[in-house]
Amino acid sequence: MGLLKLTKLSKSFGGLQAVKEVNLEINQGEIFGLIGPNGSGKTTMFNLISGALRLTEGSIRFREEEITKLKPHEICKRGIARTFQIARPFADVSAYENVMIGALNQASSVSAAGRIADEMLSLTHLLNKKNVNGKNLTIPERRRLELARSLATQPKLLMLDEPMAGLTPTEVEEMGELFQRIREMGITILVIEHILQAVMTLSDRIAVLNYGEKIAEGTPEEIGRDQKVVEAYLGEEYVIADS
Amino acid sequence: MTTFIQGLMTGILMGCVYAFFAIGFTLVLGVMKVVNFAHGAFVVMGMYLTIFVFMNYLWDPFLSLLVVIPSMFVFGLIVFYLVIRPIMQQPLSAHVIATIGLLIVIENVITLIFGSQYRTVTVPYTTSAIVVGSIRIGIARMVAAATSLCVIGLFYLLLHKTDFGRAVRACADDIEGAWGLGIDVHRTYLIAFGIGSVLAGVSGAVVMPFAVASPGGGLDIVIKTFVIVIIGGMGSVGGALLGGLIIGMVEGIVSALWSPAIAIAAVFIILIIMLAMKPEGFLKRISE
Amino acid sequence: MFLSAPSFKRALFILFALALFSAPLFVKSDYLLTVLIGALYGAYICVCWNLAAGYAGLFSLGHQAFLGLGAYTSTILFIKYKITPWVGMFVGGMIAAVFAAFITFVCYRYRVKGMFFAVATLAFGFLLQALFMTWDYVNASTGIWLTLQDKPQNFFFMARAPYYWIISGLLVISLLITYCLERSRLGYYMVAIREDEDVAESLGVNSSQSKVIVMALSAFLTALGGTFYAQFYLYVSPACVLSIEPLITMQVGTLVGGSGTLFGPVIGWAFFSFLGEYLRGLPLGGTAVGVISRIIWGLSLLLVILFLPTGMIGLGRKLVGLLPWMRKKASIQGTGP
Repeated sequence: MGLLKLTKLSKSFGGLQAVKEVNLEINQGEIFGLIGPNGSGKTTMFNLISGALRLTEGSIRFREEEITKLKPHEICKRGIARTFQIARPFADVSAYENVMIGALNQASSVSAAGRIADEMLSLTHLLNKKNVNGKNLTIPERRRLELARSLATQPKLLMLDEPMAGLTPTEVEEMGELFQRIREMGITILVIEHILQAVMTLSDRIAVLNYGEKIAEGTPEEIGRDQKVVEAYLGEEYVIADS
Repeated sequence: MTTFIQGLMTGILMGCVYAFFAIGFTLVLGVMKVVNFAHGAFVVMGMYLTIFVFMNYLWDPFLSLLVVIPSMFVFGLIVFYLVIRPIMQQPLSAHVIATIGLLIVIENVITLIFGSQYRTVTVPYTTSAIVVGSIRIGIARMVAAATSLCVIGLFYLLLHKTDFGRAVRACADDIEGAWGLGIDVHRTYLIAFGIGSVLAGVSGAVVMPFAVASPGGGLDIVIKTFVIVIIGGMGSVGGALLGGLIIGMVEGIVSALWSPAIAIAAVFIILIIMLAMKPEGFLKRISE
Repeated sequence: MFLSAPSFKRALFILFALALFSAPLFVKSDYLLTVLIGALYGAYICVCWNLAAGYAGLFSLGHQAFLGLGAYTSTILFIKYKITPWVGMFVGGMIAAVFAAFITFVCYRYRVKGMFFAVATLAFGFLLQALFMTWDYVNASTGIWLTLQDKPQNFFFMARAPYYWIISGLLVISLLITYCLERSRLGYYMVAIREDEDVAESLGVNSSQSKVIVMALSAFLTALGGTFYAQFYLYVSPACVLSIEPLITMQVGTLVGGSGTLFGPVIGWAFFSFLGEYLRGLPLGGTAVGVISRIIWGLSLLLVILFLPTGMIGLGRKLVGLLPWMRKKASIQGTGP
């Protein structure tokens, strides 16, 4: 069932076309990977979907509703949450309060938001850092905080921008487990990632962007075999291990 | 009709002078990103230094520049070290409070020394004017306007044709880049602030032949300057001139046709429109 | 919300309120009461400004406009239409709130933020002052006098004490409102917006609406102060209620005490009030007194900014953090890596 539908999505900045007529449909319950070389427009797409940027052409439908012209906070209210490539926690605010602010998106009261915050902190193994200010957290902790905060908004679609960057292999594995837990919660995941091993293993389907255009879409196996993708991005030597 | 033209003429002349008031402010704002509310007090200082020299030696204001320029430069250096440098890292609210504090101190010290009554400087040409029909153009104002234009021009040349000017523009644009080019950013800031202070003081001196000085006039001056800089573009010399002329003309015409109070209102309405339409001002910054 | 505050904080606040309210029982001198009233009035408008500037990050340089709107509305309604200032006060508050909401909304619609917002509000303040100085309906720059009568129903009292209690009440109410706001949904949104507005929006925070609400609230409360000013000092003019003077009070008290904190504005303004009164008491001879006290005033502004950027509350917190038992608490909470 189509949760998010992008039709002919385009964005140009002056003369530069960052996203070129991208058509994409993401189904409920999927883990959908978005890959492509640097500068191929992936984060721009996130910004377009989340409402941070105005699109030049095309339309975005979420749960059968046209959300193209909505503001970021309205889009969040409708169930799309996103994280940022470089984690941006609220620096002078505790981890707990950071997540609470996210929780207030749907929570009926401040105390309810507090309970949700505790749940999310526990999910991301941050409960022991509950009262630490955002600026005093380590980078992996900040990443987890971003995740906890976005999850607290009770999204239907969670967009993650390079959540694995800079993590150790163990941490990557833990993140993968978290993805499954999130999927079990009924949340669809759209993830931008460069760590190909992770994204190929975790995703149900993948789309590949190059210079703002979608050059391939399919299962990880299909993508791994796609000649265009190999040339543009994966490099000649890449081989998918047999599952 | 004649009232309109009278207002226009006075307005253009005053506009040049306002622009002169503004270039010191826009220099500091553009290069150091500091909002110096005490700028108005610096202008008033220039006025009172001139008054002091006149009271004791009867020198023409232009002659007293020999005193005003070095004094204001040294004063600027001191203020830079004590006040400006520490607040550069702090947010806007700190700039506002600190420089208003400075303004209050300066103006009250002046009141202590000179008293709060209005003072003027009378030179031979204070009351002379060129009269064309029923339009009266004061010589003192013309001289001030001409001087303003000359200084603005010289300042523009300083910024664009000298090494120091290049250093200033580099610092305004990109501090890291400036360091990389071997420019001593701290020294540049220091001297730039000194120059800004001199410009302020001299602009005050230059209007003494026709203006009336009072210690409390600084705030009004700096507010007007602020408006000019928003209209013209922060950090832009040409912008200061453009903004000054616009404000001068609006003020002149509206004062003549209606009243000075309505003129103030008109100026602020223009500001509000500018903020909505084009907050960065019409012209480009120092660096460009 | 107040009822759920930690009991020792609640007790402290009630103690503070009681001490405040009981002062007239001990202070009989009219002069002293007037001084206290003046100080409390200053503290009150600081707390109001703090809501907008400290909590919402709306650095309003035109807040005196709301003071003036309040003062003039209630006064005009009373003088020309015989409506009691008790009612006029709220009308003034509503008018101020509408103006504030409008300005904030328009500014955010046209992306006038930060420093530009400050300038826009500055312009608005000056504009209003200029307009009132030439508008004959409100007696232009001459201003309007109110005659003191023994008519409490018209917000006039012959004694000072009732005025004292009213301004104390306003101060306590505004502090309570600030406290509740801090802990409410809106309060958290304000923190988020201040920290990182874009991220806040991506989390569902409607920053435009939040700012409008807080600014309107702040304007409403400020306007009430304006009416109080009119009823106590019995004179309104553009130079008193629409000039930059009250604005400087609001800024100085709040920023020196600590913006974005509950008691910051009160402490900050208390400091300056006492400083002012102390200076006034010094034997410095003649007219020089006022000038010298202003110089010291200006110097203290400078010194505070240079050495106390987080305000007195910030300093207080740092000092408290240095106390042995507080330091231990901090490390458990993990303020370090």
